[in-house]
Amino acid sequence: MKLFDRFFERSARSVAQRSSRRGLLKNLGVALVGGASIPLLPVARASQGAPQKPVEEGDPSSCEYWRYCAVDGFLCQCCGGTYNSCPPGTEMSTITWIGTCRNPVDGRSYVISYNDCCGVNQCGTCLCQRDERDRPIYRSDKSNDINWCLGSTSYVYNCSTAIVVGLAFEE
Amino acid sequence: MIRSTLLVCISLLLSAQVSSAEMNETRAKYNYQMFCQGCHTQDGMGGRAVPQLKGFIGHFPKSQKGREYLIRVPGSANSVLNDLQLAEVLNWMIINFGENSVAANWRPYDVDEVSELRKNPLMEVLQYRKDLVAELTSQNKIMKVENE
Repeated sequence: MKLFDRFFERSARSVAQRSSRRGLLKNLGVALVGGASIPLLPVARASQGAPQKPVEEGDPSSCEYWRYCAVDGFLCQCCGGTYNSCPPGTEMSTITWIGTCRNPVDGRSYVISYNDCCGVNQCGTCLCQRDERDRPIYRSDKSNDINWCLGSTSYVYNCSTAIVVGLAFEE
Repeated sequence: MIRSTLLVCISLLLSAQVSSAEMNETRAKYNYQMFCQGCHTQDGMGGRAVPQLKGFIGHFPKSQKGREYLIRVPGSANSVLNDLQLAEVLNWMIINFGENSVAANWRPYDVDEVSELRKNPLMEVLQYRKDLVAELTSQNKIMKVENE
């Protein structure tokens, strides 16, 4: 037992002789400030990704516009609305199908929500069918063949929007 | 000099350990958007015939049956997400939409639990959920039924 006491006493004295309380505070400060500043480094910030808003380029009333990579229906852009909003007199369906499209301008993939606009008869202009990653109807959440107006008060389909809801995650 | 280098190394190690223990929030949010949001909506409010997550989802893990329900519900059990991603997105939903419904002693889902329970998906879900909510209410685990 005495042996242990002597060992720990010696160790404690040795540490006390070689270090100071101020030194400990200084080193602790370095560790805390150093650790906290790591996320501020350019490398760490770069991994947090690009801005959420895509750079828009091209004609949004064309089927080839990047946001419409999986659209199946009439473009609201040609029907009195925009790719983000419904034409006056229609109601946006709350339920929708969601996919991703790659924006060729900034090279990033975005999550697109294809909310249908409902309540007024089919718009009839700018009919587009691009089925990238469209799945059969038994994968209903990934099928663009469904009338998503099922989620609104009227089941009558008018046109489709293509709203960016976020950046796609890449492993 | 050596001590300073050591300190910096320790800070780096600690910082890395903290990040690996956390859930991958970006991936969880993305998976919610891709596989849940289409029906449950961006803010978790749901809609016609789609249950509301916001301010409610946290009630379920207050009982073992409710805890299992969130994994066995077809949208979870039959999803294309792997066990890790499913555990992650369930925890993300509870943290982000649970609000006051989440109990203080809530324990996040882990991969093993999700892996085991999703093997037994629910076939009939509407009545099951209704009965479960009634059960939780009778046990005073839900004080006010906001969405049945």
